[in-house]
Amino acid sequence: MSKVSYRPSKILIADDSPADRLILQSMLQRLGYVVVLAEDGVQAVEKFLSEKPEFVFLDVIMPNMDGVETAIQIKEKAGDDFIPVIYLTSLADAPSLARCLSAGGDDFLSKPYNPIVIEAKIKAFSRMREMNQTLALQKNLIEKNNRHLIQEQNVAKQVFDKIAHAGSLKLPIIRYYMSALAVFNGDVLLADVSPTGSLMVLLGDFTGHGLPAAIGSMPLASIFYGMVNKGFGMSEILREINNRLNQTLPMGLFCCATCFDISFRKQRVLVWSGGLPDSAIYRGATRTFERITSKNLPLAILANRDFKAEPVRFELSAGDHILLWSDGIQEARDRQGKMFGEQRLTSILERGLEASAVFDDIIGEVQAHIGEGERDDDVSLVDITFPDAELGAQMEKKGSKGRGCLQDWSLNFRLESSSLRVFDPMPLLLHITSEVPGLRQSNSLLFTVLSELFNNAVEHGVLGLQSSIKQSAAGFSEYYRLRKEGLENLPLGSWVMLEFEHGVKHNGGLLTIRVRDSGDGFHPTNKTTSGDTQHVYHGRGLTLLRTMCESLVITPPGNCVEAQFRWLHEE
Amino acid sequence: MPAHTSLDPVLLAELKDLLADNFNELIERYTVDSAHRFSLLVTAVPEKDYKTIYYEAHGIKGSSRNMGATKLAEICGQLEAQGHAEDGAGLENLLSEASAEFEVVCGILAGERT
Repeated sequence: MSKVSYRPSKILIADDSPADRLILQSMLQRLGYVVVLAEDGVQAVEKFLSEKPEFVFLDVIMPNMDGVETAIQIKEKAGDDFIPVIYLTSLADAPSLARCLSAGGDDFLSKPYNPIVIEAKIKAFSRMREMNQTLALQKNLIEKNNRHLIQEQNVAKQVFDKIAHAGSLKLPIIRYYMSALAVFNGDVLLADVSPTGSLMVLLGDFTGHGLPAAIGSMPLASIFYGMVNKGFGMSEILREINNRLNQTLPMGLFCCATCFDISFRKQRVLVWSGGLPDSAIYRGATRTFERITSKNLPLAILANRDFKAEPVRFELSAGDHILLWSDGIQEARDRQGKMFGEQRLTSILERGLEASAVFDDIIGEVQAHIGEGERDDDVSLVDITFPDAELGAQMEKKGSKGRGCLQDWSLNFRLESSSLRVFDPMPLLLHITSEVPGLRQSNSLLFTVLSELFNNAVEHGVLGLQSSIKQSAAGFSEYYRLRKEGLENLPLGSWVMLEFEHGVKHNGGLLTIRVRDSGDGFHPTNKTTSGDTQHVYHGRGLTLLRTMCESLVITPPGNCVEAQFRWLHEE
Repeated sequence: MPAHTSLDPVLLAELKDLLADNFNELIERYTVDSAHRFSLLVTAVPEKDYKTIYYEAHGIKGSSRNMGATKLAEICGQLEAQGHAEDGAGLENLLSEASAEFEVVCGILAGERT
């Protein structure tokens, strides 16, 4: 922004005395200002509006409208723009002077007029005018930013509500309380029934407040619902969430969370908890609580190689409840700033009440503690009833079977010369196999199997390279030089074919992978026994594959390899 | 010299310098405006019209100060104050004193015309 000069260029004089007007006009003109003249208050207001002077000298006692009333009108019409108003007066009594200033005038100029004093006053008020304009600009900017912020928060809340309420929070066995501010304080509650009939619940509490915290809950919610719908297990979901948050959230922003996988059929719950306060299992038979203590770091802190998503298992029976809450309960403050605290909460849990009364008492007492004062609480409390067999079976049906999840399928995928030269099929193939949750669990293993089979087909089959070249360090680089060269000059008519067949079994699934190539297969002179062949031509590669796969069959003359890869359900 | 007490010679010289060609116009405006205000005072004083006394005496006082007519400004200041306080004591005397001083000032200003 360029520096604006706040020296006024045009000055209004309103005075009914013609001699005084002439003297002041002459002085101001000599100082270099353009002067506008008025003979009374009414004229002064008219000239102010038509000529837009930036500075005003006003006689106090004038006909038609006196100086004080004129000052009020000019200030009102100037609005946010600061127009200095200086009274011209030889009034001496204090009450009159006070009246002049309280009406909005800014200073006095006494008679006889002195040019030095006049210039000094104009300068002093120009500085005030400058400050005032800076303030007005900043005020506008703040107002604009504030409107913008509120708009952003509204949009974020709408998006968030859509994502967070995509699941099954409305199930009759879930009862929850989240204060209005909780969402923007980073609390998030997600629940959905998986295709296997498990109810998955996640309560998260992001560090920080406001928009940054709410933003973190977007990937959390979309991964959670996406993976629950596809039937992934809790460990796999948590690993994926942790990985994404770890990679995307800035340092210092993380998510305390507790996740439950409740199986109605198996009458058990798997719990993983990182950083949130204890949750509790209510035993309906004894009206007592079993505490579940967090043993893990919050989500987003550890890189996935260090992240442990090992759940703890509890048996459940009809009438039991799971109760979980965020630290907003213990940290709810009264007007003196005193926290609700762990002890108060524990005493409610130990009262031996009916489950619904426990929920009501916690919310009631926390609210009473906070009082009617400022509501800046972020209280979240969730109660899940473990239903009887009949209701449990109904709950299981809420999860649609195999929503977007591959079951039995097969795939033939043939790469011709032009593709073999440039295309790496691994990401595409793994993307497809990942649609089977059980295979996704074993993604890295499957990657090793697939890439070993494919590379064997390309290098030994299509290109006919001998792995014996790789026995020395120099040979190793020679091998890769030959591979590169071979691919670049690959003749038409070369191909590699990848065939997949996947079938779901009662406890998991079986994936058959068959890789064929256009090569000649094994050299006949070395094909004494199958064991020797593998040893000579494929080195450790196939030996490793044998340990990973259920079976590995090489069909003579060796340009077709079939591997069977089995996966089992978690637990 | 009456000029010394009735008109400040330093201020007068400054005004002459400041107004240059407009100096005669200033004298004209001052004398005509003040004479008009005196005519209003002449009616207002016997009628004890304090508002007019306060208002017009204040006007003469202000421009007289600007012209350097210090003594006239003082007398008018007294009239203004009594008008404001609605104090009628000795108003006639003050008015004739002011009128006489105004005659003196006008005489001097007439001689200062360029």
